[in-house]
Amino acid sequence: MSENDTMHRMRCRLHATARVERFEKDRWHTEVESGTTRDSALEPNLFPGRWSARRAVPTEIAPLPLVCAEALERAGWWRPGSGETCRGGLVVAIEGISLPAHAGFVEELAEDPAIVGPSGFLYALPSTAASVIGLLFGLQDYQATLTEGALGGLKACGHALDALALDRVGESRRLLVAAVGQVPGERRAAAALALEVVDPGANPSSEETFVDVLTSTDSYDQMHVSPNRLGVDELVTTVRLLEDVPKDRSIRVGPDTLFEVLERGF
Amino acid sequence: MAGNSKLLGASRAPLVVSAIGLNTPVGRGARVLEEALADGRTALGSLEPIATRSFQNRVGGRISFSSDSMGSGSPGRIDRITLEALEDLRVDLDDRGGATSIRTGWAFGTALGDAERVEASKDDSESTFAALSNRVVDACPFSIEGPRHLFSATCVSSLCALEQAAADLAFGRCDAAIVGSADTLSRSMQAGFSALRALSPSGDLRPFDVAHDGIVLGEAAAFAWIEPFTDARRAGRRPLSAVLGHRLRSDAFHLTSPDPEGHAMADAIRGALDDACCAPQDIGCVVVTAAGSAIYDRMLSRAVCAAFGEEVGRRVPVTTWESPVGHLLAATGATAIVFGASILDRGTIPRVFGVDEIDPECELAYVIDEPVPLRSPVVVSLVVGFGGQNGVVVQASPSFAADRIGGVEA
Repeated sequence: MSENDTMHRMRCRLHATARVERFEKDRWHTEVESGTTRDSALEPNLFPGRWSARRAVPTEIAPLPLVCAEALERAGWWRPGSGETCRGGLVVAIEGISLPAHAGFVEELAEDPAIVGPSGFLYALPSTAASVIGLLFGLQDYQATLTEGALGGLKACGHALDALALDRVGESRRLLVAAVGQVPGERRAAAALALEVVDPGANPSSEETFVDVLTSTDSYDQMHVSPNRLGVDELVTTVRLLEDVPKDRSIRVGPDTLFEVLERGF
Repeated sequence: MAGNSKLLGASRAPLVVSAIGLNTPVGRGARVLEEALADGRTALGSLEPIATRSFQNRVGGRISFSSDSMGSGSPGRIDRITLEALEDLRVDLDDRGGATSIRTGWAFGTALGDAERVEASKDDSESTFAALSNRVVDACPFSIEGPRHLFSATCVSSLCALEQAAADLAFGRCDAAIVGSADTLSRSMQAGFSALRALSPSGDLRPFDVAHDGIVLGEAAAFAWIEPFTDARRAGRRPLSAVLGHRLRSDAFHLTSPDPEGHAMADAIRGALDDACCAPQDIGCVVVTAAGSAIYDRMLSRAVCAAFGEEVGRRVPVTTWESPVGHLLAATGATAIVFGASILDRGTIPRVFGVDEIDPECELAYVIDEPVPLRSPVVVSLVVGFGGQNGVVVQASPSFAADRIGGVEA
């Protein structure tokens, strides 16, 4: 991407988190280190007034709520147990989760149509993931769900950056970008980025990372992608690289650079 | 600064709908749907054998094919329904001057994808949403050389698609974009809505009526050719409408039900009007969706009154296309664009049927007796989706847009 192609410049404060979860003994666990795990369930009492304390936070979309909670807490948009609502919008990419839920619902329906419950159908709809996250945290300003397959996570990131650049989100100018997908070996990967537009002249503090977004004619789906890659892998990889970016740094991203970081790192 | 007003930089030129394609249970084309509304002709009927007695109702709107190789539950029905709508888009575009786009983008939405393939236990890579989108792109009568996008946000899917297409056009990633959506009324769709207790138990679709008891589902595919106004003019096309504003907002209120007060929908309306540089007094028609559901009918009434002010809100004519075809799932958002564009193109607001006595909590000026002339060339369409998703599109006649926005090259 050349400077001449740049159509829009934007500086964002960024907070990122990524997880890979393994499903064992009816629970989702985070792999802390090889061979050791940590239970990753979110307790419903973290969301007073927004989620019933008597209802478990849905595991159907795990570990998406967890990564979102971590990113939002790091960004200072949300405090666990406060009952406050976040200002901001939401863009979610989901892959490999709703289709098995749909197949499960079809099986349930074949056994006895009279007793099918609503939850099987709800999680067959990809957008239910965004509805759950929106409800848990109170994100109202924007909501979109992508089901792109390969590159889904990065395209969610691109959609969010476009929406922020074009002022589509409202006064908060904040978006949570989140992705969840099935990965081989009974595992799921999830990642979340909290993005907030800041003054173009602002500089990051010692606790912050900024990204300078140069939106251009490049398209997020023109990037080469290996057919074996799953939808959220790229975002998880990118987020992990972003987590390693030293604080008080400003980095540049655009459609081309997001791809480059997958190959070489920042 | 309002979002859309800077989409195309300094020219502030709006996007236009230069052609439309629509495939619904009453037939192909917006004209056919308007005629069905005028005639009081419904395509809603028995869903047997896909729906059983245990469902809340066994009524819905399905598209029938003339040489019916596609029975109930056939994989590939969604491909066919979608491709027929795209063929109609091509014909309409040709009638209006033909495609001159070098790079055409694709922004598509679906709620449940190829549900029939999943129901047929064809658990293969062809069942994914991306596979459906790719198949349709490969088989469609357009060369898609611009960006491709795929959204799934129930009924607002294609309004998410519109957001991305508008961004791609703004940043010069494509010259025109096909924005649309499709869903079929499959067994699992009907069963799912039934399990959620969202259907009309009576099976009788009664928009805004005191007896409204739920929605009735239908299936459809709808597409719009979106491009910058200046490009349409340069190519000699006569656009149907200008898309002046669009917004997405979430209730964050309940997993399936809307906020009954409609706060987020009212915000979305205000935002879209702000995009469009329009005041409530400019609005000639409001198109609503999810009609027949008491909670949605009433919520949308409150949202319109909150956003427009009660005096104006109760005066603006309100219609819906759902009487003959039902609620069109993910196709709802794109149908809202197509139907709104057609109202502007023809200058007439179709009437709603199935209404005997208006619910006193539905306080808008519903068009129920006969079609009425469109007195101001601005149409606002309100689209609601599961999980408290709200989408709004503001369209205006091209001449209104040229006068209001200015700077559009002839």
